[in-house]
Amino acid sequence: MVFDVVVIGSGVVGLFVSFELARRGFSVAVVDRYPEPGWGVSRRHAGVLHVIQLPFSSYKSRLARRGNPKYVEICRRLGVEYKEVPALLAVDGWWKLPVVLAAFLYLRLHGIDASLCLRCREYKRDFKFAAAVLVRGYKVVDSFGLVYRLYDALREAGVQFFLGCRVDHVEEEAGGVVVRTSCGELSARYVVNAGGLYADEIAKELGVNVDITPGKGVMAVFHGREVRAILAPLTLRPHPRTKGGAIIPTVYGTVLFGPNLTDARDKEDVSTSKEDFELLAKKFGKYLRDFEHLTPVKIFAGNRPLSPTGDVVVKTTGRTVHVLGTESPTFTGAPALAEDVVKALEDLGLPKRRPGELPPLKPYAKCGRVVCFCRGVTECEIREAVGRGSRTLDGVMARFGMGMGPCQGSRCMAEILKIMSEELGVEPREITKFGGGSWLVL
Amino acid sequence: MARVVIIGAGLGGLYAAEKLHDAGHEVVVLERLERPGGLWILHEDYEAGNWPWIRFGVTATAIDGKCVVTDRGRFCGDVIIEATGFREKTPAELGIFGTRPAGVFALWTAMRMTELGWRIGRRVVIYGCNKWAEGLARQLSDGGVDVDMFGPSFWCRERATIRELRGSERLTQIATDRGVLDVDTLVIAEAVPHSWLGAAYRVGNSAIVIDDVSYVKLAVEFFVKTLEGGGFRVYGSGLEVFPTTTAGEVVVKVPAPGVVEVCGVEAQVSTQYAVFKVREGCLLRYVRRS
Repeated sequence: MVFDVVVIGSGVVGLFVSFELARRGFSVAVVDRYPEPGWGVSRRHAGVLHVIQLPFSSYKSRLARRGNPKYVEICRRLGVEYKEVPALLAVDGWWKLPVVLAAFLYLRLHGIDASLCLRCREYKRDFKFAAAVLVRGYKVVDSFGLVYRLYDALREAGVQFFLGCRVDHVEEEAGGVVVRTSCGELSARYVVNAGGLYADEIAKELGVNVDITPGKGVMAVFHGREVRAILAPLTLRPHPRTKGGAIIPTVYGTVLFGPNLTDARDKEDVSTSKEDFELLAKKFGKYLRDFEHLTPVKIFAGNRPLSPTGDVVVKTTGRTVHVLGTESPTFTGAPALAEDVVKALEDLGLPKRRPGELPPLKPYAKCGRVVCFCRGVTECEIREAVGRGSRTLDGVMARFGMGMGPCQGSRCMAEILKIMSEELGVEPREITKFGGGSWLVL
Repeated sequence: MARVVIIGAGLGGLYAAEKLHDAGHEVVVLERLERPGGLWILHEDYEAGNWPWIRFGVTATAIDGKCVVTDRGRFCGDVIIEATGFREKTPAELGIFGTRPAGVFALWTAMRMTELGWRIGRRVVIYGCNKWAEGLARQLSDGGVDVDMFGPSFWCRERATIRELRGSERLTQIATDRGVLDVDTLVIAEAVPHSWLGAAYRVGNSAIVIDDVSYVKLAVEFFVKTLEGGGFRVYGSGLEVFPTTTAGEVVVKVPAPGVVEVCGVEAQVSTQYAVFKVREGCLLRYVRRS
């Protein structure tokens, strides 16, 4: 079969592009190297929907401002958990007040909904700081929930997923494009390259010479305190290794520190070190009340796909739209970026159609025994997760936010594995944690 | 006579039920699994008995006032006691960095997998020293698995600290302060008390992690006395104390052999657990190692 569009990459960008295409009635296939959707860059996103992204003139900044408000409707329709939280751009000493004033004026000049938070009593219950600029409009979203609900909705709408399939070669021909993958050949009229960290390799096949470099970010999650705002320290001279990052509340009731920016050995390097952890604890710990009483839950890393220009780039070749340099704020911008990608496809010749609505997504049915008592997940939900395409333990657990707290799935992991093996009709030793050779039972 | 709902049929929960039943109260023990014992099935001194008050296959998800919310309906009583066991420490909490491969299991998961007949690994390190971990080690080596057991605490026969995990898919290596080990599995058995449901009353490992049957029983007895007759608060510093509201006696757990100050009097403690009589307003303080 010849698909109207083959989308390479099942991260938030690939999924939102597929969503826009499916709404217009096109036949779509999504191919991804990982065994579950969104397991590249998106899997390691902190879930923050940005308001401020510098420089304001950049494409990624404009995308973030367009994309952010769209999430309210998207989350409502798909049933994805999110929190509206303000962001505090804070300083730790009163002598830095001019920095706060300067930041405030700068943001107001650019039309950002910012206010001065000098006494800021409400937030000083959570944080220790002198003064801050308060910016409204930030959100934290259940990024796993978003990816899986989009994936489920797209599957129900007939989009075909080829997960765990590596793209080996892409060739544009007169009437279409052939995408050769480790799972076989896919033919399409058009291709969207949303390959994240690997988008450059695909682009090079079609003559676009761009290098995507991994910008590693380490994040640490703590349990024991819920905060009601994002806090980002305002500094005059950012430490080169802790550029950016913030104290971020998660939808799971934990607090996340980071990400920082460190060197990655390669695109798959997501290892962490004691220094990473200490750097994060030192930078952010002093702003959080009772930090010393919190329990570190996990430390993990992700890689941002950095483009040479530092901005998101949309490039077209014959029948392909390439999306390059999709670093963190692109998560916020993805719903807007998807519209732009569709326009770019239309410029290449894809027929213009009016978008309709996808059928509403059925919620999971709760029944049977409770397997995960922390999050109240039942046996039927686990079975349904398998039915909806999850083949890995991490995939099933991420769908429900299991193992995100301090218990790490200790009490439910074996029971989930048992239900999965029954549902898949295989022995537990044939099930992996996250694909490849990540076997659980030897 | 009161109606008591106990969550968890491990040693702590079962012994509390027995004591409360003997004192004439009506008890019900809610157990998630289809068998009693919890993690204690790994313990050499644990003996399964016939307890008529257990309701098997009932998973508690929340406590709502005087009722326990479960997947089999609500169980209400005058007193609710949580006996849901400890929580294993997280790798981040233990200062373990590196990669996050498959083959790293919490003790509870490793026990359940072994119980279900699945081999958790071929070369296994158990990190943390207690009688349950020893039980798992015995079971695994009886099954032909190569097992090494050590931990960071003083009470470990073999002491070593894990720094880093390696392996991108399954675990391949563990870097410790004593060198690098080629293993495919890590079981984390370092544990801390944990309230899974936030009950006002807790016994067993949910309140204080004790792997000695006689001290668990003493701790439960002190708790039951307080529950019936009331008591006063006691505070510990540098050591763990249970019950924190007592009628006069407490079990303490020390980080290493050393000197403990009780109500202004110093005492030498050479075992991990000890019992002390306390008065109201007393502080129990771990003074120094010996």
